[in-house]
Amino acid sequence: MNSETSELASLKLLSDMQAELRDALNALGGMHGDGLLEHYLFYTAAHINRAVEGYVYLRESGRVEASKHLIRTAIEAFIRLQCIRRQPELLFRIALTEFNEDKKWLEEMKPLRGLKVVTYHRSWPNFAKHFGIEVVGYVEPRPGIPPSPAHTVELIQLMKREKVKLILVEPYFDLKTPNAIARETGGQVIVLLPSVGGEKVVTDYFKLFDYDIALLTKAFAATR
Amino acid sequence: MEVLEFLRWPFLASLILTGIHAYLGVHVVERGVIFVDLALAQIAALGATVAILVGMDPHGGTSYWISLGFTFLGAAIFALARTRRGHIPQEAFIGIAYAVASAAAILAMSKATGETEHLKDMLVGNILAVSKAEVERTALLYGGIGLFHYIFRKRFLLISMHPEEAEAQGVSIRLWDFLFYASFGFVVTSSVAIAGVLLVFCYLIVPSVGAMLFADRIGPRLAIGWTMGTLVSALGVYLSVVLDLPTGATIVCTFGGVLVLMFLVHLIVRRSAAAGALEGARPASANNRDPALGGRGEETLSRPR
Repeated sequence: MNSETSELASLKLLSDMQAELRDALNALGGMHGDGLLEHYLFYTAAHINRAVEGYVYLRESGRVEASKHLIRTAIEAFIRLQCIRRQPELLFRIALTEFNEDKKWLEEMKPLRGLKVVTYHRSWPNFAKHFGIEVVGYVEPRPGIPPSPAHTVELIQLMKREKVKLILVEPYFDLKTPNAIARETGGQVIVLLPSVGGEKVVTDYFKLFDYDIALLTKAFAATR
Repeated sequence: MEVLEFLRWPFLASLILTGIHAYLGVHVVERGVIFVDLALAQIAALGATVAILVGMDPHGGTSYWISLGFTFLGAAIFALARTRRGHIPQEAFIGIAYAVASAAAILAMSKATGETEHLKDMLVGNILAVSKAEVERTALLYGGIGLFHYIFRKRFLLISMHPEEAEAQGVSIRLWDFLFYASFGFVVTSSVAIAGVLLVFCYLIVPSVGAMLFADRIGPRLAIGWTMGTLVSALGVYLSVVLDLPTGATIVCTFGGVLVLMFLVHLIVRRSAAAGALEGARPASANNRDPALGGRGEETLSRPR
């Protein structure tokens, strides 16, 4: 099987798995009306779709070998599928918990919908999209290359013009440059955690979102 | 206009770096310990890495003092390593210190969350992010160190340029070496935090080497070094704005380019001087070749060096 046929087969497999996931959730009482199915797919089908889109983009730019990105996605989908097949009630409970927690987070983040922020790199697109936050610029647009004066001044001007007050940074980045920009704009730097374990109290995925959302809402309130 | 306003503190910082580093560079080049700056900077970076590892802010006060403590330790090692009778060159110790400090920083970072990001920041730095308070604090600190060196300039110059004579006069080489490296370590620790290892190395070595192309005495060398540092800083900052490039790396490359130009000018000046000398010497050498020139007269003088 040549590489292209293999990719097509992988994509078809993913598509089949997504369909099976959807059917399985439906069979479990997908709660279409309450949005559980749509919500659950946010973590599965949509997630897979994004990975596939990313893979296609990278492949078209000739930057990755075929299948590398598909393998991980396929494995993730396969594990979920196996869970559905073997322990459907457990997975349903997990999906329901995610759904309820997400409802709570969406409610907490409601005042921040449409909020404009700056991030260090392009590293929060899904988070921003889900909670309706608009990322208007990046501290370091090319990862690993310090920003030029022209870019930094443009960013400062943009932040002043658009009244952007929050700069979101991961804990492993140096805060010197974000702090310098915050100084010039009267803004605030917030160190958001991108994964579990960034702080001792953040021991699972739910606590991670609780932590980040608490930081964001507090900082947002302070800038009002 | 806003760009100029934004760049005023980074530019002032670069002038302060020029002031102290061009002077210390003269000592470093005279001593032939070119890479002592990189070694001390790496030792300071190791201190900062240890501070990060125990959860401190890499730009906080405590982190700075830990870095400084590490640098003083390095200063003591370098002062002890210098001995006239020793058969191991001091550069060997400097190289070993650099390699071990770099490896230790990697080991420390392997246990920290920041990983390569902090190592990269220490190397490249970002002079654009310097604050007014940092510039003022650094100016005061370097002013104090400059004054200390001015008061004891004869002694420092003696141990850097004529260590045998200093020893004959009964000057404690190790003590004054330690004082030199310790004050140098103070400067390097602060400068690396502002501008990163690469830029600090350039401010230290390039003006001094550029000046040596045109002058032998300390005064003119300092004047050339300071002028070069100031002009290159301005040009580097200007180019980084016009070409939309990172400021620190642009200044480093501008230093390299200007040094090459200075070297070419130096060659032309020397050739012209040699040609002038030849013109003056022609009537005598035409009939009577100068034995001091190996009996070959104008042939030797006119050969480009």
